[in-house]
Amino acid sequence: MIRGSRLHARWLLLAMAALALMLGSAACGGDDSGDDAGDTSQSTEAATEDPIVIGSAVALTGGLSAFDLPAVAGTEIAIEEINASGGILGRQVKLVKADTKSDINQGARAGLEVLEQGADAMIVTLDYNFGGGAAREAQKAGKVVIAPGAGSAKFGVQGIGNMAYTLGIAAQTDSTVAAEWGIEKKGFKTAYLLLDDVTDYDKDQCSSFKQVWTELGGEILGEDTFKNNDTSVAAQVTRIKSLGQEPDLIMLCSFPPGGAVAVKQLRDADVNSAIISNGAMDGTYWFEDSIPNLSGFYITASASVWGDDPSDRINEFVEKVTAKDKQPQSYFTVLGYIAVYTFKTAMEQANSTDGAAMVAEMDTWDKEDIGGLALTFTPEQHIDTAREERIIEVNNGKHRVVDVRAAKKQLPLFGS
Amino acid sequence: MTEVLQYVIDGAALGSLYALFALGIGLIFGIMNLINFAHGELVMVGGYVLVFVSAPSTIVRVTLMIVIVIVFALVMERVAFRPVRGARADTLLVTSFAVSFLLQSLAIVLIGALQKSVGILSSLNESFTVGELSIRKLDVFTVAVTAGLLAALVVFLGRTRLGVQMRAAAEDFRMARALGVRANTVIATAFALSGLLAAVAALILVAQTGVVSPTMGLTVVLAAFIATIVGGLGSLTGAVLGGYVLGALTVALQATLPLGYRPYRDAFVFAIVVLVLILRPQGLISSRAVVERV
Amino acid sequence: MRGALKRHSTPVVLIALVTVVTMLGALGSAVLQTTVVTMLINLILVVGLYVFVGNSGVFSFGQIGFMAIGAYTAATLRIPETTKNLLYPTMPDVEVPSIVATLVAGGAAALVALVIAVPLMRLSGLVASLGTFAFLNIVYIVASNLDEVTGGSTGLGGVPASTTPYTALIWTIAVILIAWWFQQTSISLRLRGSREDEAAARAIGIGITRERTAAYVLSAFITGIGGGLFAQFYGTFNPAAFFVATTFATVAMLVVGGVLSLSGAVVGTIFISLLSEGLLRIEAGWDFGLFVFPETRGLQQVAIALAMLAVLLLRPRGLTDGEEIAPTRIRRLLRWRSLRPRTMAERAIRRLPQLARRDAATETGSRADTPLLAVENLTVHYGNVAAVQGISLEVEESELVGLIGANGAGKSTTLATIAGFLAPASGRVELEGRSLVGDTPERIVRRGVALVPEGRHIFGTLSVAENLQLGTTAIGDRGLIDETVEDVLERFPVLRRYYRSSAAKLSGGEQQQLAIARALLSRPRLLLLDEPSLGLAPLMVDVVFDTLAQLRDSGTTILLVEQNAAATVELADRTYVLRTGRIVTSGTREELLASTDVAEAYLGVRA
Repeated sequence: MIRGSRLHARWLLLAMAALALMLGSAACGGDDSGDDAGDTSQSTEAATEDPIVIGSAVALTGGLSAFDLPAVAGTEIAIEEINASGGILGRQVKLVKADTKSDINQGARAGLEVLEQGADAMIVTLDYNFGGGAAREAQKAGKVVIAPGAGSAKFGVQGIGNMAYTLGIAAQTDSTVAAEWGIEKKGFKTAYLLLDDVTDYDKDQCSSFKQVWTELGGEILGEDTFKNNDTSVAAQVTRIKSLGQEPDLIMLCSFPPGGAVAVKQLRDADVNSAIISNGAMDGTYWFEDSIPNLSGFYITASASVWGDDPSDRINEFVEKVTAKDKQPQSYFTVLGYIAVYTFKTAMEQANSTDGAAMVAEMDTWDKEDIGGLALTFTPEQHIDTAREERIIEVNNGKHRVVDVRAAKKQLPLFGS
Repeated sequence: MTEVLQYVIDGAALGSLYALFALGIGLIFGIMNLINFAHGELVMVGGYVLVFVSAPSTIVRVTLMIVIVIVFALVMERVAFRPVRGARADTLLVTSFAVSFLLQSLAIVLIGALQKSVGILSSLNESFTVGELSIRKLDVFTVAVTAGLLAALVVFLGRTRLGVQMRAAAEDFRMARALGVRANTVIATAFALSGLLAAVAALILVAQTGVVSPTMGLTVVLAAFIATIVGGLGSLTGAVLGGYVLGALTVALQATLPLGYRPYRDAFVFAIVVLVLILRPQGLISSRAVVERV
Repeated sequence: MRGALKRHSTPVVLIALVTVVTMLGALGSAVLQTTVVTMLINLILVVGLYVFVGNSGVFSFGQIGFMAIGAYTAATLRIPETTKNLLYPTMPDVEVPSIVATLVAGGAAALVALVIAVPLMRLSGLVASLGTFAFLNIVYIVASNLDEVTGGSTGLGGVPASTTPYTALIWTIAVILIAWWFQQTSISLRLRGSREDEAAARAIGIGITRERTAAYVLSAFITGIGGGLFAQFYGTFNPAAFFVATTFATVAMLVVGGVLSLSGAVVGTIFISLLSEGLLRIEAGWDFGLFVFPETRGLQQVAIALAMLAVLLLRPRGLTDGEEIAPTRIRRLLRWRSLRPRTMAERAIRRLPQLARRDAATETGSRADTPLLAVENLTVHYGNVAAVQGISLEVEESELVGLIGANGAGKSTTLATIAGFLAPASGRVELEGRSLVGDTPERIVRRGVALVPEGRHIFGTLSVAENLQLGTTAIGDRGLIDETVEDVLERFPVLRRYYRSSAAKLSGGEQQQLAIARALLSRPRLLLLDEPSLGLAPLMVDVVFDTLAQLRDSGTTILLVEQNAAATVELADRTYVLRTGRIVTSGTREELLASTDVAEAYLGVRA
C-alpha cells in the first residue's frame, strides 16, 4: 500500500515557472555579457588595461576533475606569476572557468560559456573526446585552445583545427620511449602486454609498444586484456603465472582505478617483473596505502613533480604548488602551468592576442623553452613528438627520475 | 591441469564476491520489489569508512565500518524508500537511482573524484602453495566468509521468528501483515541485513583492489543486477547461484577467448545471459514454483 | 471539428509548451541555444522511451543502444569525403542530405529492434528489462572495439553540425505527434490493457508479443532519430555518450514526469532540463548586488538528485500523475485535492484518536450496549470509482454474520477496509466503540481482528509449522503461544499430519483449513472470512462449512463473506445482502426467505 501524500501540482508549476524566469533573466544576462565582450574588443586599442582573459572549460566536478583540477591549480599559479611580473603585453591576465561536469556533451557548452565571458585563449579538458567539444567552439571563434595532456594527435589540426594544440604526449611516443628504455638502458629481453581496452590511448600504446619492442629484438611473451572497472584481474594474473617464465617487463596500458587494481593484484600474486605504464599512473595516491612498498614500477612522464626534475624551473613551480596546497599527484599540474606560458610566449611573439597570429608563431617552435619544457610544433603537427620524457621509477613507494630520453623512432601518428 | 585449477579458484573468489553483491540486492527485492541501485553506494560508503577511520586494530576498524554501513542502509530505507513503499516497480527503481546518484555526487563534492588507496587485511595478500597451485589467502578468506555468511543467513531465516516472518513477507507481504507481521520491522531488518552484506562485500572488495572511488558502486550493482535476475528474482538461492555463475562465466571467457575477441568478453557474457533467460525466463531458480529453504 | 480538437488537445498543449520553451531559449545566447537543443534531443529520446515503456509497462534500459545506432548511422552518412579519407579510410563514401541521414538513422535502429525483438519480447517484466540492458552493453562494447566502423572508444568526429534549435523543434513536434497517433491505435490500447496484468491479458487472448514488438520498433525508430540529431549537433561523439549515464538520465526524466503518459515524458524532460540549467547558473556563483551567492561547484548534481527524490516521494506517479494534460483537465490538475487516500494531514489527525484510545483502553471492560464490530456509513473508493457506498452493519459478540452479494458488490472491499488494507473515503469502523480507521493491518490483528483473505494466501514455500507460527505473531504473551497452537491442532488434526512438510503440498481444502487455523492462532475476537469455499471441491465445501459451524458453536465471532449465498444464509445468525456497493436488505434466514426478490435473486428459491 502506498503511503505518502501528493505535492500540490500548483507548487510544482510555480517552481517550473520560477526556473523559467531564472532562465529568461540568465539569457538576458548572457546577452549583456556578450555585448560587453563586443565593446571591449572594439575599444582594445584605446584601453589596454583591459585584462587578457584565459578561459578554462574543464571538468571542475565529476570523474575527470581528478585530472583537470591539478591542471587548473597550475594555471592559477602561472597567472599569479605573470600578473606579478607585469602581465602579458602589459595587460593583466584574468581566468574565467566553466564546468563540463565530466560530461562529454557539456564540453561545447562550457566552451561557449568562457567565450561569452570574453576568453582570448582557452584551456580544455586533457582528452581528445572530453576536451574536443569546447575546443571546437574555440576553433570556430578563432581562439587558440590547449589541452594540457591530451595524448592523441587528433587533438590538433586533423581532429579539431589549426587553433588546437596539446601539451600531452602521443601514445606512440610514450610507448616508443618505454620500449627503447627497456631494451637499451635496462637490457630487458622479454615483455608482456596487459591492456585495459577501455580507451584508444591505451590500445595505441600497447600496439605501438609491441611494434617497437619486437623491432628492437625484444620478445613478447604474451598479451592479455582487462577492463578498467574489473574488480579482479585474477584470470589475467593466472595467465602470466602460467607462462613458465616471468617476463622482464610488463607493459601496463591502463589508468587508475583499473590500473591500480592490476598492479596490486600482480604484486599480491608475487609477479615481480618490472612494470611500466604511462603518465596517467603518476602519483602516490593510488598505491600509498594498498601497496606501501611498491617497487619496480615505472612511468613515462613529461615532467617530475617529485622534486628531482631536470628542469629547475619545474622544481620551483612544484615547490610553489606544494606550499600553496599540497604535494601534486601528477605532472598534469605542470602542463596546466605551462599552458599559460605557451599563451604568453605566443602572444608576445605575435604582439597580439589574435588566434591566427599566435598560431603563425607557435607553428615555428623548435624546442622553444616554455616554462621549463622544450616545445616543438609544426603546421601539420600540434603534438610534441620530440619531448624529452622522464622515466620515473617507484622504488619502495618513492618516485625518482631514472632516465631522460626522447623517442628515437618516430612512429606514424595516424593510420597505424 | 594446474592452470585449470587456478582458474577455478579465480572463478570461485570472483563468484563469492558477486554472490555477496547479489544477495544484498535479492534480499530487498524479495521483500519490497525494489531493485536497490543504491546498494553499490553502501559498498562505497564502507570503502570510504575504511579509508578515513584509522583504528589501532583491524577488528575495531572493520566493526565500525559494518555498523556505519548498516546505519546508512537503515537511514536510506527510512528516508527514501519507506515513502514510496508499494509504488510501481519503476518508481522504486528510479528512487534508488536518485539515492545512488545523490550519494555519488556527495562523495565527489565532499571527498573528490580522485580514488583513494586503502590497506586492509594486507596480511592476507600472501599466497601459499598446495602442490603446484599457488593460492592467495585472500581468496580463501573470501570464499570462507561468503560461505559463513550464507550459513548464518540460512539459520537466521530458517530458525528465528523474525527470519520466518521475513520469508513469509517475501512470499506474500499483504498476508504477512494480515497476520500481524510488522511491515516496518521486516523491511528494516532486510535493509540491515543488506547493509551487513554490503559491508562485508566492501571489506573483501577493498582488500582485493586496494582502491576506493566515488563511482565504485556501479560495478557492484551491475554485477548484482545480472546475477539476481539470472539466478531467479526473489530467490535468495538463485541470487547466490547467479553470482557464482556470473563469476565463473567471466573467468572462463577471459581464460578461453582468443586475444582478438577478449575485448568483447562482456558482450559474450551478456549474450549468454540473454540466452539463459530465453530458455529459463524465470531465471535458474524460479522463486514461486520451487520449494526452497533459503 | 470541435470534437476532434478536444480529443486531441493534449498534443496541442504539449507542442505549445515545447515551442514556447524552445523560443525563449533560441532567442538567448549561444550557451542557451546549446541547452535548448540538448533538451529537445533529450525530449525525443524520452518520448521514444515512453512509446515502449509507457505503452507496454515493461522497463527498457536498452533504448540508448538505438540512439547509438542512429548516431553512428547518421555520422557515416554525413561525414564529408575528405574527413573520411584522412581519419576513417574504412568508411563507405556516401553522403546524403541531413534529413535523409536522420530518417535512415531511425530506420536502422528500427531494423535492429525488429531483429532483437524476436528473442527479447518473449521475456516479461524485469527479466525483459535485463534483456534490454544486455543489448545496451553489447552495443557499447561493440561500438568501443569495432574500430573500422565506429572509430573505437575515440568515436567519430567531423559530422557537419546541422541540428539547430529550429530543426530540432520540428523533429520534436513530429515525434510527439507520432507518439500521440500511436497511442490512439488499437495496438496501443491492447498493450495498455496488458500493462497492469500481463498474465491476465495473455489469458484473455491478447497475444501481446506482436503489439510489444510494434511499440518497441517504433520506440527504436524515434530513439534512432534522436541519435541521428545528436550526432549532427555535437559533430563528434564516442561510445561513452551511449551508455549507463544517458540511460539513467532519460529514465529519470520519464519517471519524474510520469511513465504512464506522453505528457509525463514531455513535462519530465522540460522540468529536469530547466532545473539543471538553473542550477548550473546558480552554482557558478551569482551576484545580486545586495548579496552574493558564492561559487558552489557540484551543487547541481546533488540538487538534481534531491529534486528527483522529492518528486518521487511526493508524487510517486510523476508530475503528471500518470495522466495526459488537456485544457479541460488543467483545472483539476491544479486543484488542491487529495490524490492519495492518506495525506499527511489526514495521517496526523488520525494519530490523535490513537493516543486517546490508549487512555480508553485502560478503562477495562466493554460497554454492554456497543456491538463488537460496528460499521457505519462506510464509503471506499478505488481511484475515482466508489466500490462501497455508505454501508452500515453490526456484528455482535459470538455471532456469525454473513455478507453475500454478486461479484463486485463490494464484499471483499468491506473486509479489506475493516482489516486496515484500504482507507475509507468516509464512514466509521469501530471495534467495541473504538475506531479501527487509520490503524495498520498489523496493529488491527493485535487488536483482535483476524482476516482470512480470499484465495487463502498460505505461504507455500514455508512449512505448515512455520505458517502456524506466523499466525501467533500477534500474540504478545509468549506463554500463550504453545497452548494456542495445541488447541488449534486439536481442532484441525490434518495439519498435525503434515506439520513439517511445505504448505504448498496440501490440497485446496487442507490449505483452507490451514488458513483458518492460522488466523485463529492470533486468538481473534472477530474473524473475517473472505470466500472460504471458493474454488474447492463440493466435498471440501461441506468440510469448510462444518468447520465454520463448529467455530460458531464454540463462540467465535465471525463475519463471513460468501458467494455461496444459500449455505451462508443457512449457517449465519444474520445475513446482509450487498448489491453494487450498497446494502439492499438484511435479516435472519427466515426474514430473508420471506422477502421474495432476495430469495429469488440470491438464494435460488422461487416463492
